[in-house]
Amino acid sequence: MGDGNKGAGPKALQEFLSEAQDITENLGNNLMTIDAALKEGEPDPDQVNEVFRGMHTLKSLSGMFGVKPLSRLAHSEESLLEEIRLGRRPLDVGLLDILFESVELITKILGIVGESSDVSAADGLSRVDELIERFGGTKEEPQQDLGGSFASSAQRAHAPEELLPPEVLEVLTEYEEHRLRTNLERGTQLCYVHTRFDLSSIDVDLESIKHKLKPVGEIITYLPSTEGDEPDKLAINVILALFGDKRSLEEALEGLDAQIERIEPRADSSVPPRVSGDSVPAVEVMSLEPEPQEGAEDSREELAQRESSEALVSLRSVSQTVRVDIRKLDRLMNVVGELAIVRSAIGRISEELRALSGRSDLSIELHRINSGFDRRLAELREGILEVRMVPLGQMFDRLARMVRKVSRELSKDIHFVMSGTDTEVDKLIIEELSDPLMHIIRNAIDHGVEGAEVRRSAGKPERGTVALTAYQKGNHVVIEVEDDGGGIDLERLVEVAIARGAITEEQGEGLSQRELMNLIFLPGVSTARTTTEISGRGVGMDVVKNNIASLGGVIEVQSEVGIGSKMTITLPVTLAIIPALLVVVAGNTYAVPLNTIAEALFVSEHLVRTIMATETVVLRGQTLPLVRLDEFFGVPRPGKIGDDSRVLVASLGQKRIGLVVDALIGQQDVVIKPLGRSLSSADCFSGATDIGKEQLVLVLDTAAVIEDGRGLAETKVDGRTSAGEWA
Amino acid sequence: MTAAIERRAELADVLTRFADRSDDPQRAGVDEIGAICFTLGDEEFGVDLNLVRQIVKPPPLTWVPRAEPDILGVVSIRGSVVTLLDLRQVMGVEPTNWPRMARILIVELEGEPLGLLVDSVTHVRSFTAEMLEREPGLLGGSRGDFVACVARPGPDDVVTIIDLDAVIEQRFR
Repeated sequence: MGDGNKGAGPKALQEFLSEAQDITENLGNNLMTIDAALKEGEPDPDQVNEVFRGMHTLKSLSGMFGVKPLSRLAHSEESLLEEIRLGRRPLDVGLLDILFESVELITKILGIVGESSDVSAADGLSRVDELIERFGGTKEEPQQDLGGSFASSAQRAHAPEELLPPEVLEVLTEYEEHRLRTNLERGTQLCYVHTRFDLSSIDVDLESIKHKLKPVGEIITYLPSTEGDEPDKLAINVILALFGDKRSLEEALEGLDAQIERIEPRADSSVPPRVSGDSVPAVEVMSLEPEPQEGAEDSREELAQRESSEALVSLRSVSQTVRVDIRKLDRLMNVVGELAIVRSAIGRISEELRALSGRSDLSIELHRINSGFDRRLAELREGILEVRMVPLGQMFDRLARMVRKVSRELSKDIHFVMSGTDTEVDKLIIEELSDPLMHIIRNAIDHGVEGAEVRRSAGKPERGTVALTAYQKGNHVVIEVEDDGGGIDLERLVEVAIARGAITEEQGEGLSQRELMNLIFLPGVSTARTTTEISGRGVGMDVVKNNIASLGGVIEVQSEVGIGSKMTITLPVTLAIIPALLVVVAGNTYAVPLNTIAEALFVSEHLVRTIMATETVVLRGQTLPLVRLDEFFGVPRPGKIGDDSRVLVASLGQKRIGLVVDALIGQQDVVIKPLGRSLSSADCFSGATDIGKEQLVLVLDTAAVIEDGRGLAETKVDGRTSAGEWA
Repeated sequence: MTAAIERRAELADVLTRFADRSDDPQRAGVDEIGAICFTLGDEEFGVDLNLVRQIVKPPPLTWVPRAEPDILGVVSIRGSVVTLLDLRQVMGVEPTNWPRMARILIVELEGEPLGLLVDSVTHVRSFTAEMLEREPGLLGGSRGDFVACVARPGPDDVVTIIDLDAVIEQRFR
């Protein structure tokens, strides 16, 4: 199959990958729902069905593109799911583990194929066959087991034959029959819902009634009926396994043209149904165009047919959306950035023209057009930014799956609470955020939440809680990870930091509570007593901090021993394009993000006071420490603060600092491009931006300058925290 | 990224194998390696052909404060920001003014472009296994580690093949 598609272009492959990615995401989410339901009792069969269908589509897609390990895996898994959904194999946590594992493996395969753009790149993956083997490993035994349970249950509950006429039973697919039996075994009341639909809108109406019936019962099947004589209407009988009482059903169907009829054991139920000639069918089956009976000859075949047609449908896109490679948006954003340069050039010409020729018609016209251009450009920018925004939900779902896995590995019972999943953040930020968050949450489960014993004796519920919260705050997004675990033991933290050589003993003594807490962000520091598979090697929080800093964000930690810990990440909503102030320092131009600057001041040299070796000025009664950027950059400019010099008052959270620059050039929207890892030593820049003529301007990371100017990092560990781990 | 790592691993492997084969005349000459050769000062150097994405004339350079001394700054190459490494400093060649023939080799390492400033690009050459000699031990210290092998195609023709992996390893990790 793969040979036929070797010619499939990279674009088609990309589409396949992103579609497969979506399906896989959905699979994972459905598995999570099933997992949750399994803890309470029994999972929703629809959900199982959904997973089955997703896997089926994945199989067809990967088969078409010749991704062999994937189609092999999906094929075996589809068979497994078929067994499950037909009730031949009970779904338990162990089986669910295997399913989760396969979702992970599928993601990995897609990743490998995506990176190499080669469909056969993942062919050698041995884990595929291992996993497939595990699918089948326990296959035989439960199958026999179920046979027994069928027989015994038939004695207790009504057999389908007792309730439904053979005509109806005959047209049920194997799956429907299984669901029918399952419900009967539970003693669920069956009923018909007789309803009629307009032929022109039947698909919509069916969906709507499905939706209404869902909460009150399980739909076994729909049967078209000959009842009713209106030519443009079709009568449908729904066989429903009713969970609640008749009242709830009536309420659900309110306002619909529908009658309810309970299905009672039939009078002649003792007679073998096939032989019975004179039974009065409760429902008469009308044969519609494709004869339902035909399919009933071999329900498996019918099922297979239906499924394959479903797969065909799902290959077509139903929604009105397009998937776009983020790089394309980046390119667009670059164009917008370049247009902004053009715009400022036109603006300048317009001003010059006005100065030159006074208020001539031409200059007024140019000015008018320029401001129109400006507005449209802003709209375009907003539009592209909006496209880049995606809700955090998808990443949160992935994290939830990880929580499940980790908590099972560590045998800790974790209640994972998410909120703010619809908070929107730039796609690029989300990508970069997922690893740090994963790390923080792992830490919370591994080191934060105590074992069940400890929790019990501390009077806490045995089940630990980890909460992931997101919300927007102005131009920033705040993400919090909170656990109700043991908190961070500061004394131990200092011990470890000293033992690892991150700080000296004297340094350890002079630290404030807050500074102590920040020790966890130093390389090599971990409070974990034991190193586990999952975390505790002390590589981590420093990397987390760096990753978040590279997104222009900050991470703060709060913790109370015995109560729990909370990590708060504050991030800009987007990195793509930001308003910045262009400034000159020692002859070079730099950009400073405007959202970090509160105001710009004129300061004369004689107002500068030196307090404890730090230059300061007094601003509205408060001391403002100064950082001369030329000195900070290692190129001190001879002379005093000049006439053109300005002090930019930068503030971030509680911290304020004055940045001394040589001159202001003006404001401009800039597209920030990241600096490579090779420049991780220059951590006071968040990136560079193109301001035209191939000339790059570095964008100052104000937060880093504030940290560096005043923080722990420089004084304690030589300002090189960020040159740490990149592994 | 994985692909890049694997490719590098492969290259390192190939280079080691070649170096080993030079000791074994029977297996020599089976294969060739291609290198882009360039000058730094008076010496000729080479890097594996497969690692070089592009060769460009130096665009305007932006100096980066607080970066390591052998990082010259950043340049804009086709819309992306590329760090420019001064290969002369890395290889310990005496600095002079940059000649007009100076070029930037854009190499990709771990999925990230990196620019290497060289005095001039000479040509693409291929070396057979018997031309390659394991690191001759002339270069001491860390710079010796940056030499993958030395190619001697002729009596007065010596090309030092740089092990970029080692350069990156030591510089950035």
